[in-house]
Amino acid sequence: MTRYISKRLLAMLPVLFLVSFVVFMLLHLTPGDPALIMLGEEATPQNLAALRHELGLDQPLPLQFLSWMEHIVRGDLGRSIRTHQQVLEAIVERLPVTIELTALAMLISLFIALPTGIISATRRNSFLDLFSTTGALLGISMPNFFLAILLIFIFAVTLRWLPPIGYTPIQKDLLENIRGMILPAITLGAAASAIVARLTRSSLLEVLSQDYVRTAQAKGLAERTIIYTHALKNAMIPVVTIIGLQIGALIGGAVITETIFVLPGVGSLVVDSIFRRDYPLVQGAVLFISIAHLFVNLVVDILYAFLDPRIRYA
Amino acid sequence: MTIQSSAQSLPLRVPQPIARPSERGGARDFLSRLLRARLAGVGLIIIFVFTTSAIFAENVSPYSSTKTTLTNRLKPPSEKNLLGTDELGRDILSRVIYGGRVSLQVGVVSVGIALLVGVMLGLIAGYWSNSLLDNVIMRLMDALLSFPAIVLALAIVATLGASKEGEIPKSIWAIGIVTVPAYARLTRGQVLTVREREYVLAAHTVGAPDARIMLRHILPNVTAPLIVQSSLGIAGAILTEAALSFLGLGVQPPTPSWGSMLSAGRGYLDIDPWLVVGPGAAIFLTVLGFNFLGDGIRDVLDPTLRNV
Repeated sequence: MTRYISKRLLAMLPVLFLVSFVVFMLLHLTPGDPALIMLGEEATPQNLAALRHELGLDQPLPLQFLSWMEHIVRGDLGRSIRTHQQVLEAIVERLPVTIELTALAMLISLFIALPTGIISATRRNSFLDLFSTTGALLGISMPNFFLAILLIFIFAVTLRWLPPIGYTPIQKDLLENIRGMILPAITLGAAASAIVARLTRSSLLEVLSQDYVRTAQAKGLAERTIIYTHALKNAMIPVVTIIGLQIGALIGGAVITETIFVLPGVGSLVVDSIFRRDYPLVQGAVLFISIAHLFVNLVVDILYAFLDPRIRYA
Repeated sequence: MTIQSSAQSLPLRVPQPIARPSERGGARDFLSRLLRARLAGVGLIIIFVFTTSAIFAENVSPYSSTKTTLTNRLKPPSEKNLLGTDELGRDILSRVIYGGRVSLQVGVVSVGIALLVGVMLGLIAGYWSNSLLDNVIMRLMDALLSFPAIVLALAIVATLGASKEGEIPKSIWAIGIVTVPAYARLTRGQVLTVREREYVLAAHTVGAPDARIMLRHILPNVTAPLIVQSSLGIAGAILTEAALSFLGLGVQPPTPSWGSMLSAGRGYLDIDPWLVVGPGAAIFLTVLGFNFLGDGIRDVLDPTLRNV
């Protein structure tokens, strides 16, 4: 197991290097002078030169990249050009909100998806199956921002059960915090739950058609035992993979969800800094998100190898 | 060759093959099976309706998409304005029809870019697998995949700057770049199996050049999953474009796009909820159409998945 983990970690190094290269190049994709874009047309030549010097834009590109890499390795993502706050600090400040949102979304989606998928597979072609497969099919095509608007309209504007937007810190009022998180978490979790439900259904159906399940049936085992102790374990293997992949989609979806519901997370930080043309903050946040994404995937892969020893030896 | 030319010159009828067209396989068989898959048919109809209305928007839409009538603001659906009017008194139905141009254009063209680049990279990586070139290409693809798609697309659009009127939407490039890895990986995986087939070995033996083997022998045999991925990819690209426009980073006003219409309508939810229904339904239905089509094609191409 240790060998597997160290092998995976080692394989990640070139990817991490390339990720930081892509993020570095983002600033240099801008048509024209990045300093001018950040400061606007009314900036004085002195200010422009100062910013260029601060960001190292007055140096040759390879040197810039080297110094960028050197800073990243030390955990220094630079400073915001608007607030002069450390980029990493700004991200860490907003991280708890994003973690809470994605965790709740994942929880809600599994809570809906797993029972739905299992019932669909075991009561195949029943009304419930038809209802949930259609629901899942529609759920995959639903844009999360449209779902968010519909949820706000129903539960906040019309029924007035939940606040439409805004965030209350957990330390201040736990109940208000949860109330404010319900709609965003449903918005974010809906697509994931549709995908996981569909896969649970098809994976379980496939396992249920295998010989060892027929053997179990021939032995006269109860249907419950067959499904829950024999079939489900094997059916869950592909489901775990897709759950891991969904985490990436959730992190991406958080950008939109946080912006709509005005939650102060890392996702809305990206969007806000884009509009403020605060490129160091954009670069830092994007780099942070993708590295976090890589590590989450690594953890899922390791868990997966732990659950299914066949993977390690493949 | 001689048989064929004599058949052309003589008024004789060449005997038809015994198998009927539906049993023969090939493009026609594929199409008839696709139409029999109900959901794919529904998907095709939806796509057809939205595409034709977007192309012929000038003839189809009842009003101008940009003309404001301030006396006619925020009206609910009526006989005159089937989907109502927006906050500047513009006809929502007309704006939805014109807005389809942006969504479909970005969806199709960005997937086209991703296909072109991704398939080329995947062919090269798979053909010379385990070479340095393969490693460089695939690690770069891994790096691109490690960004959540929407985050990278956002960052690219932000650096490219806002699209001006009449310009090719910048989101096309962003979404295209972001989706390249999906096609590269898929193609590479397919190439790895196909290049071991006898006909590829045969082509090698007769000394066919690499480019010819890749393009004439391997490529045609890896297209099936690419077609599925493209249809699902267009659905995803339309969603991403709408999300970018929704956040204000897509095409700029007054050009209508579904995402920006939704975003504008969100502010009037308590006064006029009808504002968001048209554009929201349009995104949902188009994406649904391409998802149905993609799923349908996959079922037809891969019979083992049928009935699952």
